[in-house]
Parts: sequence; C-alpha cells; structure tokens
Amino acid sequence: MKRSLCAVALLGVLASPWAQAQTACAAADGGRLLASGCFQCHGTDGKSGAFDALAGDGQLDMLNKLNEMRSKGVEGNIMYPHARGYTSAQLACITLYFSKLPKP
Amino acid sequence: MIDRRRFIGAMGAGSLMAMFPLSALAAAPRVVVVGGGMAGATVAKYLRLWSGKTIDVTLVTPATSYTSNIMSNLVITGQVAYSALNFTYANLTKSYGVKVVTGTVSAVNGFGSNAGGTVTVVNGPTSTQLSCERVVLAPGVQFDPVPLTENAALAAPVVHAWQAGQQTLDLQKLLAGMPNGGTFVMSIPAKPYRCPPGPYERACVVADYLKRNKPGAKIIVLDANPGIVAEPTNFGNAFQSYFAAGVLEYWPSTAVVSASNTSVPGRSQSVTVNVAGSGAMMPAGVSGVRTLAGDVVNLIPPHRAPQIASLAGVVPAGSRFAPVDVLNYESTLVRKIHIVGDAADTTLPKAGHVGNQEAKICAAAIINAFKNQAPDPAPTANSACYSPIDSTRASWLTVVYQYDPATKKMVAWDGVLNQPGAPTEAASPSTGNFSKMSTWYKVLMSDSFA
Ligand SMILES: Cc1cc2nc3c(=O)[nH]c(=O)nc-3n(C[C@H](O)[C@H](O)[C@H](O)COP(=O)(O)OP(=O)(O)OC[C@H]3O[C@@H](n4cnc5c(N)ncnc54)[C@H](O)[C@@H]3O)c2cc1C
Ligand code: HEC
Repeated sequence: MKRSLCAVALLGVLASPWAQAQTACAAADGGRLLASGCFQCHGTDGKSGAFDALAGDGQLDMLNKLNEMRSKGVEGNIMYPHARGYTSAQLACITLYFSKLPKP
Repeated sequence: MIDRRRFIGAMGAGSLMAMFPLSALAAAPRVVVVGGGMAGATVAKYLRLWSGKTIDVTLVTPATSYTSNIMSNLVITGQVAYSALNFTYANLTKSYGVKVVTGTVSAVNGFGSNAGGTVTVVNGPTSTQLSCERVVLAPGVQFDPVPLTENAALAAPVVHAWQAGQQTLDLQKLLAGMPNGGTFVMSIPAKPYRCPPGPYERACVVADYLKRNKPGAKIIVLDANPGIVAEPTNFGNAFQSYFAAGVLEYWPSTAVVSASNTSVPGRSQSVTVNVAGSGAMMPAGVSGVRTLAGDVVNLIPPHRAPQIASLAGVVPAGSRFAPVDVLNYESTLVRKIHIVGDAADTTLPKAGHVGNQEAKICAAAIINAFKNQAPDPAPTANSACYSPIDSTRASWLTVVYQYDPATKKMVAWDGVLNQPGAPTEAASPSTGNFSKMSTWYKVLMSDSFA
C-alpha cells in the first residue's frame, strides 16, 4: 500500500513540467530559518489550525503545489506571488523542513 | 560501562575540562530584549525555542500586555473591539521560559568590544541593572512633535493613533462625536514610516464610516508623499470612488507645517500645510501655504528610532533610524547591540509581519554567535499585509526579499525570473480577503506572542 502511493507520487512528478524539482537542501539548519517565513500564516513550525498546516506534509506534494502557484497569475491568491519570491533551491529546503516535522 | 569516578581520577581534572568545551560548563549566555512589541516578543520566543532553552532571555517592556497596531484602524471605526488588540506575555513565559520584566529601559552601557554590558530598567522609583552578553533593541518608533520644536509645551497635542493605545480610543471617540457635514483632516508623513499601506487603509475605513454615519462629512488626506505609497491600484480605485461620493479629498505632496495648540487634542484644530502637489481628488487652484480647519485632526508625524536607541549610540548623527547588518541585525556602530523592527534602518518596510521575520533572522544569528558560528549567509524576509478598504472588503500586498551580497541589502525578489521583483497587490478588494485578514492576524500574533 505504502509502496504504491510512493509510485503514484513519483509518476506525478515525472509527468509534470517540474520533473527536475530540486529536493535536497544545502542549508546548515536544514531550512528552518527559510521555512520560518511561512510561520506567520501557517503557524509556528507550520502547525496552524487556521490556514492549511504544512507540518508533516509530503515534500514532493508541497513542491508541486508551490511550483504550480509560482507559475500562476500573481494577483489571484496571496500564495502565488509569495511562492514566486523564492528560488527553487530555497523551496526545496523549506518543503524538506516541513516534511520532516510531525503532523500537528 | 565505565566506572565514572575511577575514570575521572585516572585522567585528572585538567583533561576533563579539555573534553567538555568551556561553553557547556559555563552559565547560560544571556540576552536582554528591550521592547515587547511585534519584533521584541518574536525575538524572545525564537531565542528560547531555537536554542533549546539554552539561552537566558529577559524581555523588558513597559506594560504587562501589548496593544497591537495591526487591526487598530478598525477599532477607530468601532468595528473591532479594543480588547482584540491585547496580547499578554504569559505564553512566552509559560511555553518558552522567557523572563518578563515590567519597566522602561533608560540606558544601555558597556557593549562593543567588551564581553557584554548592562541594561538599566526603570519602574517607578526603582531602577535595576541587568547584565548580559548581548542586547536586542526592539523599541518601535517615536514621533516628532508638531511643529518641530524642542519645547514640548509649544507642540500641538497631536492625536496620531499610530502607536495603538489610549490614542486609538481617543480617535474612536472623536470620530463618533464628529458632526454631520464635518471635516476629518489626516496627514501622512514622508516615507519611511511604519506600515506603508496603513494611512491609506485608515483613510478608506474612515471615509466608509463617514459615508454610512455622518451625512455631508468628508476626510481630507494630506500626503507628504507625491502619491499613494503602497497598493496604489486598490487604494487609488477606492479613493476615486470615495471622492466621487463626496467623502474624500486627497492632497499629494502636501506637508504639515504646524497645527494650532488647542485644549481638546484632535478637536477643532487648524492645520497649516505647504501644498506642492496637485491632483484630480483635490480642490482646483490650491497651492502654497494654506490653513485648514478640522472637526477632527489626526496628524501622523514623521517617526524616528526612540531615544533609547540614540542613548545606546546606535543611531548616527543626522539619521532617524539605526543601521544594522541584515545578516544578524547587529548595529553597524556598536557590536553586541542588535536592533530589530521599526527602529532599524533597512530596505525592508516597517511592518509587524516584517519585524517578526527580522526577529527570527536575528535570533538564529545570535544563537550561532554564541557557538562561534557565522550567521546564515542568505536569509529571506517577507512582507504580507491585508488592508481593509471598507467594512466588508480587503485588499492585500505581499513581497519576498532576498539578501544581495553585493550591496549587503535585502532586495524584493522574483524567484522565477531570478531577478529583482516588486510588491504584488490583490487583483481587487474582496470579502474573501476580509475574512482571510482575521485568520492572518490570529496566526501572525500567535507566531509572535504564543
Ligand atoms: C494603524 C496601523 C496599522 C498597521 N497595520 C499593519 C499590518 O496590517 N501589517 C503589518 O505587518 N504591520 C502593520 N502595522 C505596523 C506594525 O504595527 C509595526 O510595524 C510593528 O508594530 C513594529 O514592531 P516593533 O516591535 O518594531 O514596534 P512595536 O510593535 O511598536 O513595539 C515596540 C515596543 O517597545 C516598547 N518600548 C519602547 N521603548 C522602550 C524602552 N525604552 N524600554 C522598554 N520598552 C520600550 C513599546 O512600549 C512597545 O511595546 C500597522 C501600524 C499601524 C499604526
Ligand atoms: C501571507 C500569508 C501566507 C504566507 C506568508 C504563506 N502562506 Fe501559504 N497559504 C496562504 C493562504 C491564504 C493559503 C490558502 C489557504 C486556503 O485557501 O485555505 C496558503 C496555501 C498554501 C499551500 C497549499 C496548501 C494546500 O494543501 O492546498 C501551501 C503548500 C503553502 N501555502 C505553502 C507555503 C509556504 C511553503 C510558505 C512559506 C514559503 C507559505 N505558504 C507562506 C497564506 C500564506
């Protein structure tokens, strides 16, 4: 069961234009400081009960969503221009950090 | 398993010291944070959280709770309760072990090349000294008197309501008591001032209030800037519609010269201004020095870093704010003094959301410094703001800043094109944004105070 879910996620990534999405993070703190720029809206450590919580979400799932938001018309949703402010390498760090936290 | 006593005996005390670095045996490093607002509360929380509570943190602030500026424009119009602006420090103590001291810091001495320094706290007749290795100043802003005068007695009693508190309630009362057909005069200082969209937001919600509650009344917005500083499209459109409804005039490039001194601050004052601009939303032919009367006068004077920053030696002569290295928010003038929030001189906007992020960058850098490690070389900061346009609709603004090693400044960034970018505003104001505004406020305040 677990394995097939993994395969589906992987296929999704390969099929998307973001196939080369970077997933490794070089930051010494594992992306914590970068990710803290999301805490104001998604809660400390992404544990908000208000806007979507991010803690414990899958890295690829978050990256796909963020990459899609980045490519959208910037004015539609506050997340679109926000996601656009980061480089691919930074988004990799941020999503890796959240993915390693326990779900709230 | 090794027998610990025999092990130590055989190695001797000297080699034991060599095995455990001094820092692990020494007392916890100490940081005093001055000012429990958006930036100060956040830096205190994250110094504890991210150091695993290994740094001793004392937060010194004048009151037992903080009154938020964010959302205070809606308190002025009576839509939001004043109590919604109140945040205590109880959670910072309970969850993170921040020591909170009530008082005002009157002096900061000894930092620089020394190992640390002292912070003097005054509370009524008592004065105490706190010693620490590093201090973080987060005192917000102080306002210039109107007119500019050294003699406080000559200054007009200005209701700015730009530091939420009693003045927020005063302005609420003045607005509610305004006569039909009356005039509300407000002024906006030249940038940089705290919250770039804030004054336009206030003008909009006051105009909306007048439209609904005070027939024939209007607001005159005197802007020292040549045009709308933030969210020009949404505020510009809103101003146009309020102007068309006869409830708003907008005078760009208009600086306040003086205001009359009256016994009731904010009520029936006259304001003398120098009008250097013109525009479609102001009366034709107005220019030069003019005097206007207002039933309510709400002047927002230019700001500077509060006196404590000057006393600490971190504000250069002739400057208003304290220059810092944006990798760690350390003063460029005095080492081991850090400045975060509105008092710091950076390319970032003066806003609560931004002060919160500056505080996290500063906290991470201080934790590293105590471990003799360099700060993160590529921090990002972000500004996000929801702005009410009337009582049911809001706009928003957002922008991410990246560190530019060439200029050592934070630069608005487009991460897709990998080049400098600009703030983005909502396509149009909406009720959906208005409800998201409450969510954002709740989460931002809990990231700072809980
Ligand atoms: C009407 C209005 C609306 C706003 N809306 C928004 C918004 O929607 N979004 C946003 O991001 N920002 C907004 N802002 C801006 C935001 O409120 C400020 O940028 C933010 O509060 C700055 O944080 P700070 O910690 O630097 O200062 P403050 O929050 O002002 O805190 C400073 C604290 O230091 C204390 N202090 C001062 N001197 C001393 C001393 N000597 N000793 C001890 N303590 C001291 C003060 O009492 C105060 O508690 C708004 C501002 C206004 C006025
Ligand atoms: C200004 C507030 C704000 C900031 C800052 C912010 N977000 Fe968001 N985010 C939102 C809002 C609003 C939504 C949409 C929530 C909704 O519609 O319920 C959202 C949605 C998302 C989603 C989609 C969630 C889902 O399951 O559909 C992801 C992923 C996300 N944000 C990631 C991030 C990351 C990563 C950061 C930091 C780089 C960040 N956000 C910073 C406000 C913000």
